[in-house]
This record gives sequence, C-alpha cells and structure tokens, in this order.
Amino acid sequence: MIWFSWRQFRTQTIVAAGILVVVAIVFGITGLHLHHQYDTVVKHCASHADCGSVTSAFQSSDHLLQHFVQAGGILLPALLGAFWGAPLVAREFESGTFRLAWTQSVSRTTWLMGKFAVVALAAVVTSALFTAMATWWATPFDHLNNSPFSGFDARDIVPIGYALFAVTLGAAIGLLVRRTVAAMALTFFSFAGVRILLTDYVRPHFATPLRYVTAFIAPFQSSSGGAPSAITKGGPGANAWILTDTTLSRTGKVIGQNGGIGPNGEFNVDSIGHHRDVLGGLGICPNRFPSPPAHLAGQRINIGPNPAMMRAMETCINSFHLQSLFTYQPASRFWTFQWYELASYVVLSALLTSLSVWWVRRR
Amino acid sequence: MLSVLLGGGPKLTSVLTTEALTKRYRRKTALNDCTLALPEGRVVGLVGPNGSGKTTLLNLAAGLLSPTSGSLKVLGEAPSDDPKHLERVSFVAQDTPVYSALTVEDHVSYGAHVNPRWDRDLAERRIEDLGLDPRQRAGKLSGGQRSQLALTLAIAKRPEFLILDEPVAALDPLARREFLQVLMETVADQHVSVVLSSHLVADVERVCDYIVILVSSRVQIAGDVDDLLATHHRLIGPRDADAPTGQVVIESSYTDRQSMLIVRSDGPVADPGWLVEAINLEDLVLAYMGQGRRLDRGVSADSSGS
Repeated sequence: MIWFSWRQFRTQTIVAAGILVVVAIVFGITGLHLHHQYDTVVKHCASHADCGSVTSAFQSSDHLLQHFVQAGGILLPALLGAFWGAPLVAREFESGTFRLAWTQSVSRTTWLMGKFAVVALAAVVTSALFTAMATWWATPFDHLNNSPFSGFDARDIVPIGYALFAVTLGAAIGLLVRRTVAAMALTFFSFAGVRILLTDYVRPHFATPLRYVTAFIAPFQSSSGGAPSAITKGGPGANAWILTDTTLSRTGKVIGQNGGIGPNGEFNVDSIGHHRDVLGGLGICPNRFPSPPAHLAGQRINIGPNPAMMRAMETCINSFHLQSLFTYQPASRFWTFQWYELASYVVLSALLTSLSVWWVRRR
Repeated sequence: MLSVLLGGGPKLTSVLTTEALTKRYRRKTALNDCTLALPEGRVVGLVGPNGSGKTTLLNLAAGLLSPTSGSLKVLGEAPSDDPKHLERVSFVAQDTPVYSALTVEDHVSYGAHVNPRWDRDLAERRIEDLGLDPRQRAGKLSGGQRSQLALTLAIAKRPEFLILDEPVAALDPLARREFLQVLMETVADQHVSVVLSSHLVADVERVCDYIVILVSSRVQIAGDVDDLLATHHRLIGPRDADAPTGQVVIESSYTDRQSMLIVRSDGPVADPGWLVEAINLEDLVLAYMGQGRRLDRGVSADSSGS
C-alpha cells in the first residue's frame, strides 16, 4: 500500500523537490553573502562610530527574501495542507477510484494509513528542509534583532508540526466533504483558524509567565522611544516575549494597558479650564500645562510633538507614582516553547488521523 | 419432507443472499426491503429500470455501503473490509474507475501489491492480448480499453465472486461485445460466480444463464433463463375470451378483436381457443418490468388494457 500511495504521490514530491532546489540555490548564494557581510562588517561595527547606519543598512538588505522567509514559513504549511492534504482522499471520492481501492484485498484502515503516511512524510521532509534553510539564512538578522519570539512561527522545528498538522487536517476534511476544491478552501481557512487560536490562546500558557514590576515610564519619555528601555533595566530583557504591560496606580489599581493610561495605551489630558488639567481618569495634575486656549476648556488636549507639552506631561505622570507590571516569557524559554508547540501539533495530527480511520471504517 | 421441517435439505448455495435489505439516504430510499438469493456458479444478470436499486444492491454486496436495515451475506459472510473477505470478491464499479494519472503497468503492479491471490501471468497475458501499451496512462485509454483494464484487475485477483455494475453501459457495440467475450472466457476458465447488472437485455442475453428482474427494489422474478423461456408464452385469442385456466397473466394487451397475453404456465397450454407462441428474453423482461411498474402504482395487470 505504501508503494502505491507513493506512486500516486510521486509527481507532487518531484515538484516539491524541484522547488526546494531552487530555494536552496537562492538561499545559498544570498545567504553566504549575508553571513559574510555580517561577520566582517556588522559584528565589529561597535568599534566604529557609525554602527547604527551600518546595522540599519544591513537590516534592509535582501528585503524581499526576508519577507519570503517569514511569509513562506507561515504559508508553506497551509499550502501543503490545501494542495497535498485536501486532494489526498477527496480526489478518490470525486473520481470514483475509492470503489477500486476499497475492493482490493486491503482493509480501509491500511489504505488510509498508507496514504497518510506518505503525505505526512513528504510534508515533514519538505517543511524541515525549507525551515532549516530559512533559519540558517535569517541567522544574521535574528542575531541583530535579538527577538527570538518574533520569528517563532517560521524558525527551527515548529513549522514541521504545522506542516504535519496541515496535511492531516486537509486529508481529514477531504474525507468528510469528498470534493477536492471545497476541501482545499476549507483546509486553508480552518488551518489558519487553528493556528491563530493556538498562537493567541494556548502558546502564552505553555509556561507560567514571569512578572516584573517597575516604575512607570511613559513611552515618550524614553530616549529610544518606547517601553523596551523600561524592561531592559533588570527586567525581562529586550529579547523577551512581553505578554501584558499593565499600568498600575500607586495603590496597585489597574489603570491602563500596553504602556499607557486607559485600556488602549493612550494618554489623555482633559483641560477643565483655568489651567486645571486632568490626566485621564487619575486626577488633577499638580502642574499646569502650556496654555490651552480658553475656548478649548473641557476638551481633550492633543499632546503632539510639543516638547513643552511633553515635559508638562512627564511632571504630571511622575506626580502619581505609577507602576508598570509586565508579564512575559523570557528568551531562555524559546526552545521549550518550540518543543511544546511542535508536540501540540503532533498530538492534534494523531487525533485527526484516528478520527479519520474511525470515519472511513464506519461507512 | 422431514428435511423441509428441519429447515435443512440439500443446500442450494448462494453467493449473495439478502433479507429485507434496505438502504436509505437522508432524503431518498435507494433500496427498500429487498430479499433475494443469487445461486453459485452462475452468470447472473440483474436487470431493471434505472432507479430500481441495482447499483445500490451491488455496492452493498461489494461492502462499499452498509445497509440501513436488513441483512446480506456474500459468500456466506457479511461484507466487511477484512482482507480475508475482500480477496474473495472482485468488484467492477459503474463507469469502471481507474487512476487516470497512472499507467496500465502501474495498475497491474498495484493489483499485485494489494492482492495475495494475484495471478501475474493472467494479468500480463490479458494486457498483451488487449494490445494495451503498459506505459500508457489510464486517463488516455478509450472507454472500452479502460473497462478492459478494470476487468483485468478484477479477474487477475482470482475472486470466487465477481460483481460487475453496468460494466458495458458506456461502451460502443464493438467494445461491448469484446468486453462480454472476455467475461465469458473468464467464466469458462475459472470457477467464478458472476453477477452483472444492466438495463440492456441484449447484453444479459448474451452472457447470463440466470436472471433477476428488479423493479423498485422488488424481485419480480428470478430464475434460470432457459427455464423461464420454457415456462412463459405469448397467447393470442379472441377479445372477450377469458384467459385459460392454470395460467398466470403477466401482461395483457388488447386490440378491437384480439387479446394478447404473456403468461407463465408450468404445463403446456391446451386451450384450442388460444394461439401459443414462444417469447424471447426481451419480451419477458419488459413484461415483468411493466408488471412491477403497475404494482408500484397499485393497479392490477388486467385493468391496464389497450
């Protein structure tokens, strides 16, 4: 059965091998250049004065390919699911050949497992090769960005789990709906749905997040322009995956999210006239803001890029002694998370396979 | 007599028996309360109009469908996907599906891989006799060649029971004759029971020695073709005469002065008032199909005159 399943699948594997060879050539040539560039120029730029411009010039090189690595890592499993998984069984129903297959001296379980095994192996090998190449190619950028969790989905081992799951899902959907095109579309969208659900609601909980409390620093106060400077000082580190960034009042009451005051991370100052200004929901600022026109009394003040306004804001915020509470996953957990995520998708694939066997037997 | 009481007696072995077999889909009933038995070692023609349940019955027998209610036995076993059972039965599905992207050779290797009883010599000889190019893709074969390939796979499996669902329906007359020719040779060479469904009586007449007429899931009549032809007659007589006694009227039609009846009788028809003619299989089948239709609509044979 394995032999025959492979024979049916031969064309697809040859096409995939061809594409992988092209990708390997492109990655090989550009990647070697990138690594060389990184090792000789970027790595030692700390000794030079213009390190910033060297780094940003390097980061914008091979822009298209950088996108390809990220998008390819995310799209490849979905495409494998739609083009390899979905037609696997659906086509047999559509062309009626299941009547030929099911009346040979082979049980349906064996038949289905043979098909699943071949397509699963092909998907695992294809995605493993692609991801290995992409991960190697992107190493210089990943070193530079120092944010392992931002490229999590397209690096190392998790894409193998995605690909395995995608083809199993496609095959199972094909078995259910029995029409190739419908199964392809359904596979694509349901795979995307599962990925989003697991990424947003399951991945953050693979390990209990760490907590870090520090004095609140408004984003526009930090010189490099954002919260990261607040977290790097003895906190999670810039390479951590920040799950929540909550602003607390002096008494520990939650008064804002995402590094701001208010649920959306905004900073609002309401002028109530006579230079009595209110910081959104907190109270009256002890200081006065640069003269808002009298006719704007009661309206919201736009801070804008006005240095005087920013300074006034800073004074006002500091007077409330706010705190920031971060929950985060440290970069050191990257590999733990890779393995947990891979395991989740392998378990889901096994579940779908058993469901498919049960389904094909009960007819 | 004793054996009858004991429910035993000389066992007439059946390759396929069904008991109140019913297959319902969400909205329509494809086979309703069908009870029949197909004898072993015969070439059985299963005849009936479209929608009479032939395909459903044969798919149930091949184990591709499971019944909603009732039961069936194939070679004494309930159809299953147990390889031990599957290797005893071959099925050629309607439209003879094959893998269009694969070559003739691939199909033969496939058969060899998945069937323990596979007869490699037979398969290769058949491909050669048919003049098929082993490297030809199955999708490029003509309808006749494709059905021959499907038949080759079915018979090289060396089954005890060969099920064919409308195997020649889509073929031109020449391809049809060649297909049936091969089928007859196979039956002569191997000890294999065959059931073949068709709505074309001429095909059935050419190869089958036993016939089952199915109308709306009901068996109108089943029997040896020669026996049936010997016991059915066409009677022509005066318009107002009653049918001779001892005859079962299957179909009757009238002109102003004449009555024409198709009847079943076990003995000879002695009534001198009636002209007795032999009938052919086509007439017989049409008569029973007509009867089945009328029973469906709840009218009797006699009230359907002219």
